Amino acid sequence: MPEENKFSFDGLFSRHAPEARGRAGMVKRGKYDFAVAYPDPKSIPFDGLVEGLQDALREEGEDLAIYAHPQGYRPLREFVADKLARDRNINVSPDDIILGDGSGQPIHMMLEVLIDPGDVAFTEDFVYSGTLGQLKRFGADVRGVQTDDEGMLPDALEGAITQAISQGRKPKLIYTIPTYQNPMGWTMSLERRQAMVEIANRHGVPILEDDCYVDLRLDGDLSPTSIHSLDETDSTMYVASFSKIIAPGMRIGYVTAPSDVLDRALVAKSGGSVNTFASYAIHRYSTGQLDAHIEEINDVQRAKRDAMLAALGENFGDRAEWSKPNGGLFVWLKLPDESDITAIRDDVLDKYDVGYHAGVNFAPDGVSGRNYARLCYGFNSPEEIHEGIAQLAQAFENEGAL
Amino acid sequence: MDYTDLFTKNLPAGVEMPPGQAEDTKYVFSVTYTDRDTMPVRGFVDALADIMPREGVELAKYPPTQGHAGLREYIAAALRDNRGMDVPVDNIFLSSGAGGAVGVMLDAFIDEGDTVLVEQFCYSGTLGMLLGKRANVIHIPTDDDGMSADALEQTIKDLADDGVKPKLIYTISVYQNPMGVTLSADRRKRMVEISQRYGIPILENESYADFRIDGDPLPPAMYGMDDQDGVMHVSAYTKLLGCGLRLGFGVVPDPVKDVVGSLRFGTSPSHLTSMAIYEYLRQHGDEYIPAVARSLGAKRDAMLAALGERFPPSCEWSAPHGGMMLWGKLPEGANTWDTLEKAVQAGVKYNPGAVYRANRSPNNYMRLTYSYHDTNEIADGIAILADVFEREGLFDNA
Repeated sequence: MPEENKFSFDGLFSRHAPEARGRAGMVKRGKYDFAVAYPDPKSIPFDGLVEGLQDALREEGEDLAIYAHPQGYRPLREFVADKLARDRNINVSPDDIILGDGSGQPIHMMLEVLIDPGDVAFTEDFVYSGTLGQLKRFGADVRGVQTDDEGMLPDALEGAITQAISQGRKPKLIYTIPTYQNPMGWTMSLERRQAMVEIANRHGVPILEDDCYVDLRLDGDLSPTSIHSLDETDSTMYVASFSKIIAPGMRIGYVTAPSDVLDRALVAKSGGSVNTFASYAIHRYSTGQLDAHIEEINDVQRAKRDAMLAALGENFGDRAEWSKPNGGLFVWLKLPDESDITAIRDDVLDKYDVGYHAGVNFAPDGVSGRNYARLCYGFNSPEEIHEGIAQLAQAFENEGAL
Repeated sequence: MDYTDLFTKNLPAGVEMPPGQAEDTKYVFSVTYTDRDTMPVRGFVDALADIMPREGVELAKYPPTQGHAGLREYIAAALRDNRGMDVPVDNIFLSSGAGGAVGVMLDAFIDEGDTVLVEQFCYSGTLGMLLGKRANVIHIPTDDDGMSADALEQTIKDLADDGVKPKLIYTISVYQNPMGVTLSADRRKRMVEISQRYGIPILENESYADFRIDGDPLPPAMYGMDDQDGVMHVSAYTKLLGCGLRLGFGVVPDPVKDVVGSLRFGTSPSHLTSMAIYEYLRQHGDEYIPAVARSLGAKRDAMLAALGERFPPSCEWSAPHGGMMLWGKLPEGANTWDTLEKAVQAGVKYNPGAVYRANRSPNNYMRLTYSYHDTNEIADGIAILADVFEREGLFDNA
């Protein structure tokens, strides 16, 4: 009922405007914050970033007065092009790269030019909730494809595509996080990458490869080459960001995609070019220092991952199963099938000061995974991780989940 | 791979721009770049060095969805003191420039074919977004007091007779881009009444409110005059502090807040930049903002003087009390759209009047920005422009 004398917005919102949800207000964070994918706060190179920015402003600060190139600060695009060639066998020109606000905005741009309501998009059976939310906002029919610890099962992907086509639906996209997958933590094998490209090419379905964790290698084999590098038909879009290796607050990510897609994405995106100020800081800092910094943060994260795995062993024993990732930021915890830790999440946060991300948030169907939790080990110290995991086990016991 | 069948049916429509518009030139009178002569490059670094020890650790987290809390508090105080708006910080969100905030609001409201009412000449960036969405854009006659309220109401009535209800009234109510006029207090009152009576929200863009050079104090923002949640407000620090900083903000009433919040996922602006801007403005805003206005005043005067000297009296120029641009009317028949390419070849860029009209039909108007170059460069560039126009027969300079 419209309030008297209040402006009514009924009928004014656009057809694709999302439904309003309850206001979140201030998001409560636990002392033991395993919920959000933060890197280690102590390892952020404040001084290096400020020094880099000082240098850049001295050299070309006047350019802040003008709008940057719509694709973003060129020297940073050159840096990204070199890094992609060196690390991921991706050989693209800086002209084929767009800088964006984190990786979220580049993903948004790709979906904006590809997805109409009802289009089918395929993802892993549990996948990053942010992209899931974006896909749903564009009205995609998101279908999870079964995975094991080497990624999507080729037969399952083939079957899902064939099924969609036989239903008269248009498969528009395969979204994958192939390295240190969020939330499950595995890395897709070379064979699986090749199989995905073959299947996708045969059916004419583009791939969106989200590689934002690839630099967070703690041990184990190097990640196989990128999916982008295996695809000879120019049908793979590749996004990544500096959020996990420098700081999320910098909000700088990037995408490279076939020029057909990039050209349209540039027209679709609003708000002009990405922040030059943050680009300066990242560019100057990264040139010459990024590799050493990545090694440093991985040393820190390795200790934290080890602490979490050890604490899980001590406190959960054989009552649960969990992933043992070689990189990334998360452990994927599986409780007994009958457990449901979705509804008790707020209670655990309030009473035990431990935050986690409930498994259903990563499920394309929105109901699977009630007995799963994603635990991020990036934010707390190893000691806190031990305390927090002990608290969590206690909480699950007391709340009847263990 | 063939993408033809893969792209969405909602790709933005192409918007025609004049030849030469994308070329680089020595004299840029076509963009509202930041005033280079006052831009505090050194100050940003110092501000960042000051704030990093206090807040740097926040960079480890994803910024709050609505943006840096301190900066939003600063904005709330500035809007209260300067614009007559009493707004909870919760209703303010930071964006990538004013364009980012406008884009989100248009996403929230505008579907293909929806009708939007704008000023007689409408800022080309927003107009481009509206045309990209295939909106039906209707220009409302605009005079020295801003958009005509009578014409606005009549248009709404005429549309209602045809069964059409506009979705939005979009106005740059302060130092309007490109015309330079400010919507008067009376007009604001009437516009809010019209919005309420017909149930059509207003989006007011006050991106130039910090650039008051002289003349009367600005009338308060419509957001604060409206008691029914029907006005949305957009502004920016981009032009004030540096275009490369890309920082603007939107203010929305409660009923719009959640929709805009969900549309903005993953697009919050750089927290590093927000921190630097917050600390710089907190320390120096009170001196810096008037200093920019003084510098812009000198540049405006230099450009008006150069135009008076180099262009014939048959050309008319706006004399705005603030903002970053002049609006010119050349003799009837002058085609500023086609002439742009010649000016660009001579090293000068301006915006032809047709980029501010939905139908793109060439006309004899043009916009010149004075914010970026110093006063000598302004004089040199205007002299070149006058030569080009004379050579191309846009006027006789006897």
